Amino acid sequence: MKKIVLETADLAVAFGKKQVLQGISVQFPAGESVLIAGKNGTGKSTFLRVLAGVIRPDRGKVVWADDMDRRRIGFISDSLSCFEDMTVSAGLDLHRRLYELDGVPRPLLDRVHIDGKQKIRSLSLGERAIFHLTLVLAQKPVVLMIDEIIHHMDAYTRELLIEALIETVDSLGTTVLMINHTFHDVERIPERVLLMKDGRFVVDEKTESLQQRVKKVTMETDWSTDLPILFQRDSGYFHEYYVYPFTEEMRQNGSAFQDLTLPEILKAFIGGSYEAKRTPLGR
Amino acid sequence: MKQKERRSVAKLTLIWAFFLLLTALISFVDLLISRNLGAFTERLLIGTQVFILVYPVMLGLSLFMDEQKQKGMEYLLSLPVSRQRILWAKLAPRLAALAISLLVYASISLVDPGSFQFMAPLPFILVNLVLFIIALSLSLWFDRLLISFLGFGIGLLVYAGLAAAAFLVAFQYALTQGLVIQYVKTPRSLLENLVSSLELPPWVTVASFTIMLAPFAGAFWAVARRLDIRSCRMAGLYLRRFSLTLAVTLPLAVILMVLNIRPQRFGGNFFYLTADRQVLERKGDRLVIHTPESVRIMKGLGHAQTIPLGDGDGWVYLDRWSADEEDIVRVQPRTLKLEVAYRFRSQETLTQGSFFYLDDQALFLIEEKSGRQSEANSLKASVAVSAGNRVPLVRKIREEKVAFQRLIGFDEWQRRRFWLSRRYSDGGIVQRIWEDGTVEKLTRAGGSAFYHGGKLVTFGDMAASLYEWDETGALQKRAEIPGRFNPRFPRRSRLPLQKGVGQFLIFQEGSNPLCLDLIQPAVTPVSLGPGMDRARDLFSQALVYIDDQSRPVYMTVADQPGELVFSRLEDCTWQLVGRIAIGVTGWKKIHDNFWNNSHGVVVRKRGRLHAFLYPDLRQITLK
Repeated sequence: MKKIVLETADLAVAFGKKQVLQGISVQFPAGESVLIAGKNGTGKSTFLRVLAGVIRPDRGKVVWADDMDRRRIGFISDSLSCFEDMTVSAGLDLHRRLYELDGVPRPLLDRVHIDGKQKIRSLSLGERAIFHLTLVLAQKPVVLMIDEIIHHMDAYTRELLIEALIETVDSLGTTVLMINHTFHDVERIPERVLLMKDGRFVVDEKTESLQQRVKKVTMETDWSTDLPILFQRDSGYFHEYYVYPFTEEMRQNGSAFQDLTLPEILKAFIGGSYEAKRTPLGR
Repeated sequence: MKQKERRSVAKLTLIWAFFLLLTALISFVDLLISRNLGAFTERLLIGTQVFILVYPVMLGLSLFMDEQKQKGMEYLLSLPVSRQRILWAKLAPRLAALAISLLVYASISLVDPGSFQFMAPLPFILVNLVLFIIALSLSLWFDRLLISFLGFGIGLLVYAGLAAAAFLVAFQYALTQGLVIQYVKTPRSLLENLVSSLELPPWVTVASFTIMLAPFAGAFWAVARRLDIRSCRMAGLYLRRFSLTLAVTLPLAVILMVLNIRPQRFGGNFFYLTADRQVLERKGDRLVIHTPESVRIMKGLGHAQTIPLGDGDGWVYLDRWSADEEDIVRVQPRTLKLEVAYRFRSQETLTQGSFFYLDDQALFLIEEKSGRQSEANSLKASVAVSAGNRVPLVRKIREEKVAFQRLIGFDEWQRRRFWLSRRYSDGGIVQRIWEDGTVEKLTRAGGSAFYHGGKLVTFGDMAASLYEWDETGALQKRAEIPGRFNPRFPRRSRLPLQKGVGQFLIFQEGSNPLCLDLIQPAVTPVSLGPGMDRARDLFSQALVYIDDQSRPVYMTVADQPGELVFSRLEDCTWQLVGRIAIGVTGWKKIHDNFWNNSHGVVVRKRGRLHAFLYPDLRQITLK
């Protein structure tokens, strides 16, 4: 059993009267890569911010492993927050001093030709994402949290990021928590998926298991059935039904259930959040 | 991070210093053009003072401005550093810079306090801290210095409104209690009276300052909330509940207080020490009588200017005490019995210094005003009130055109009262008008005259003349003291000259007072007594009183701390009688907190009354 590096206990956060996180309790073992998904406004970013210490919870707590060094917790927010008036070199140096690092390796920066004398403000969003990735990788993070930065990046830098993540996980055994909306790019990475809805995790499954439990069936006519429909999409010609949780017994009714990729599964979940059909999610 | 903050503070200080030097340069250019060093110094000091106050604002606004402007807040909060350390790393260099600037200001003000200090050090430090705290809470919302200043200006107006509301609470309380307001004619005098009204019961001061401190609490809470400091969450919850309650109840309380205010004529309070060692205090429309054992209150006596005229046989005579009429009333402090001694008719007024009590009878001089300042008033009547006789006895003595100077005297040989006057129409004849109306012409005098102990002194341009009545009753000139005498009468004194046993103080504007010795006779300049170190201001600041032994007791005030120094004139030199710590400085505040009559002095210190009896200033503790 892998060591738990991070867990939350009944984590709750409210912004004014709106309850954003509602009593989340979850554990993250060492070396696990987790994808956190959900429709907009469900609290994904808030959850990561709480873990990173940017926001304090109203209730509950975040528990790190006993030997966890806070300097080895990496967080890249979707705002790519940094002191924009600084130059890249100054920013690297500040990070080095604040985190007491020996140095900040710059191969990623060199590969996208970011000059140290450039102001951070002058970097594009993709370049800034690479800059922040450079910072957090220099920390040799035990836990790395990334919030929706991939959509800022072009195809090349996106690939650079994914490669860097995979290498980090492999070499350091880093636990990666990632929020992302473009699932195709990161399909290879996550071993586990957490789906958030209304401040709670309604799905917490391994990727492989999830792919076994979500299937699609396509019909030419509207289908009245007792199967748990996660999401339904209708066009002029056919109807697609996403079933969750799928069991093998369901094949006995003769329908042709199709396997889905992870992106398709996540789209179904998120779509189902917007259009609850028959069986509400989370039951 | 500390290094970054120090650099940020240093940069701000340089910007501030640059504009300070620019101000100095502009003032210097002005000097070259106007060639007026005084104006240059004044403008430089004004500019310096303004910029000294700008500095804490800049420091406060810059607290989180970098993070706001450069979008670094999340990065900052995600650092492996506690919130408290982050806050301290930001506050420490700013507080250090502020402390250094305040030390510089304090040092310069100590060098030349008279010309440089536009605010005492302690209030100046408080003002700086207030500005700094308000500014730092605004730093969380603005990312541009200019907009921050605008926001700060608005915040300051809101705060000023809150402070005004706080003062309004104290001010209205003071009005109802009749504790303050004598010269509320200008906004400045109003402010001075508001400040002096802070000598209030502790609960009023606490309530006022609680309101004023609300922005501080709000500012700290805002910063702590933004940084998400854990210990402030519960405090924030209680603060929200408290603020809601306060927001509802405070306006109601202020409205109720305003509605309860009754209009008052600002005639000023008095504290009168009677022969029986009681202190009469006017509070609004109430007369409060303090003794060591008790406090009694007489209500419903109107809102009028009150001047104690004097006391005798257990009664105290007060001027114009009734609500609608202008009366002279007499009050029995022990029983609170009240009688109207005389009711003025239109155009009638009381002659200043005209009260005289002898053999159970009180004598007042009533004037009828002519309405023209160029004419002397005409003396209309005299009034006698007999003890036990409730019907005032009004007797018209004589109608005369007389000079302002009138002094009631008592001829011990004839055992009769009279008053002294000088007629302009006859070229300055000094006469005394007896109680039965007969007029006795005495002599001619170029200036004023006064009477004491069987002697008459007149003043002219060339000499002062001393007269005495001989065995036959004729007035004889005994001595002439050469010199140019032009005695003036201190505003607060009800007597033209201050009497001493055989010796008199003559005040002359612009120079030291003179001691006139009727026994010698001689005129001697009076040396300055203990604490009298401002000869040029002696006249306007003089508070000279006569004790129950008819000896003049002169009081002045030491600069720091506020102290009343009492000295008695003996052999034309001052003998120190005693000192009373009054806790306030400045003549205006002294005048507002100190009352004197022939029995002693009453001092108000932090809302409590202290009476000191002549001749040795023995203290009475009052209820």
